Amino acid sequence: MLDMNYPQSYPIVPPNVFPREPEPPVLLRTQHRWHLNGDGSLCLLRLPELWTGRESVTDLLLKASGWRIEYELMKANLIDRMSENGIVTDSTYDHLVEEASCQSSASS
Amino acid sequence: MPEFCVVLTAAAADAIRRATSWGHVTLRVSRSDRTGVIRALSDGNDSRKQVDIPPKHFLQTGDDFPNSLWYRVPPETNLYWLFALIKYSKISLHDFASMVPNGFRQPGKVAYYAITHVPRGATEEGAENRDVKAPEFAMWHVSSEGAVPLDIDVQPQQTGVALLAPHWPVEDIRRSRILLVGAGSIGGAAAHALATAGIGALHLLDPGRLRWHNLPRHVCGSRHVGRLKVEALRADLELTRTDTRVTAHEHDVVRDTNSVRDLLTEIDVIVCTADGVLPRRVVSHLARRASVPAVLACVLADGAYGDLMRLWPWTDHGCYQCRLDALAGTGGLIPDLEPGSGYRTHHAMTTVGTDLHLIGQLAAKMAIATYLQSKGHHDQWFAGEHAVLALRPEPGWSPPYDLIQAGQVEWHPAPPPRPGCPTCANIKSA
Repeated sequence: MLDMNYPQSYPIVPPNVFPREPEPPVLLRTQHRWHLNGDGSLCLLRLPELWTGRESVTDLLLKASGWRIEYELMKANLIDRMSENGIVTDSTYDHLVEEASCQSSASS
Repeated sequence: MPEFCVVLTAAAADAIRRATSWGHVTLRVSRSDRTGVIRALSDGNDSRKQVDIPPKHFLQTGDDFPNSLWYRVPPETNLYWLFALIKYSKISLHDFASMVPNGFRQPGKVAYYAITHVPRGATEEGAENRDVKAPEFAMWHVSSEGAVPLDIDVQPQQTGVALLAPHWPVEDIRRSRILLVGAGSIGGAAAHALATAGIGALHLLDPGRLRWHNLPRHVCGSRHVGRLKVEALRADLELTRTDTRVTAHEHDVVRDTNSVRDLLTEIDVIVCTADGVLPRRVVSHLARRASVPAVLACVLADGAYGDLMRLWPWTDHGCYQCRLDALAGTGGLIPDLEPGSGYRTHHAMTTVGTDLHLIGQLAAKMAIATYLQSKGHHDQWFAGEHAVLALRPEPGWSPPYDLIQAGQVEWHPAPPPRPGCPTCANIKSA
């Protein structure tokens, strides 16, 4: 579950996406490898200026979904930092998703 | 070294005009500045009446000298003053006394200052026989050695930009309302330039405070450190540019966009001098949706280039992002969109204030021209819609930032909107 906060300057400035369940602890917000901003929102763009207003929020939601998966990979200690551009377009961690899925099934 | 000068306020001049033929004068004097202003004066031997000194004038404080006079005189007296002043000479006490019909006081051992006044209707008496009109007021130092002409500056009935009429469209410009987004070093210079042109209303918008590190480049001085930049600018402009109503808004155009949107209903032109791509994009979007023209000004590549862009809310003119896209489409990128640039207009403290002020003043010029052009002043048509100025050019940038000599300016047209642009879409022609 997540919140999307639309700033007054939307669509020129992207909405902020806040994960609510799970809600990452404050300590993680200071570590860039978790792709979190200091306010708890997701760091989904390398730079906020890369959002030009032409992009779709659907892309942001896809990236947020990818972040959720990478969050589990981090929690499971399968990776020590999230991928630079997110797993929606980066297949580097695809094999780990299957591994994590197996771990999860075994533990349940 | 300049001689003593008296500032004759409009109030003092009127008091002399209304009085009979001579009177006593009390001067407020600053010895270090060798300047005086009339503090009080009388009609003949009546008691002296106080004359207001303009608020915040430096002679609000000073030493009072009651030993001065004013005389009503014929035009020849003030013509003598004019010629003697030009020739750095003086006239004899006898000649001076002979030209004062009433109330003349012999200086004896105590010299005094005297203001001589020619009634307005009389200044042109005999003018048909001479080339010069007699000044209405003149100033003298009267001693036993003669009367020495001194400088006098008479406050005109009309002050400010109105004095530039009819050579400057004062009435049109007085009705203009301009929003300036960004009150930094470029914005501060733009604010002063806009007010100097005589715009009617200037709205300043910036949430930032003036910091010590701003001082080498900002138009505001150290007495404002810690204050909001918009308030500092407003305070300075209120002292010097009384033709312009300045309103300060401590909003951030990116965060407080709704407040800015509301403000645009009463704005003719927006000038954006805020640092960074985001504020420029937001201003471009707001301006376009509100059908208000905008001028964007910044320096790029750490001050190598000045960049000035005008955005008309017209169907054939692309917005700021459309222009960036058009640049990218032709293989060019604006310098600070290059990889590793940090995506900002310039890094802190890389550009000298002089260059920033130049860009700010040119932005103000373009904003004023944009407004006047819409009022039918065709001498205000600009050479293009996008200017690149070489300030400290560096080789290696792609066009249009490939200027190689300082001082080069190149103008470019505006590209059309790009398909799918959320800013330009569904806009009716203004």
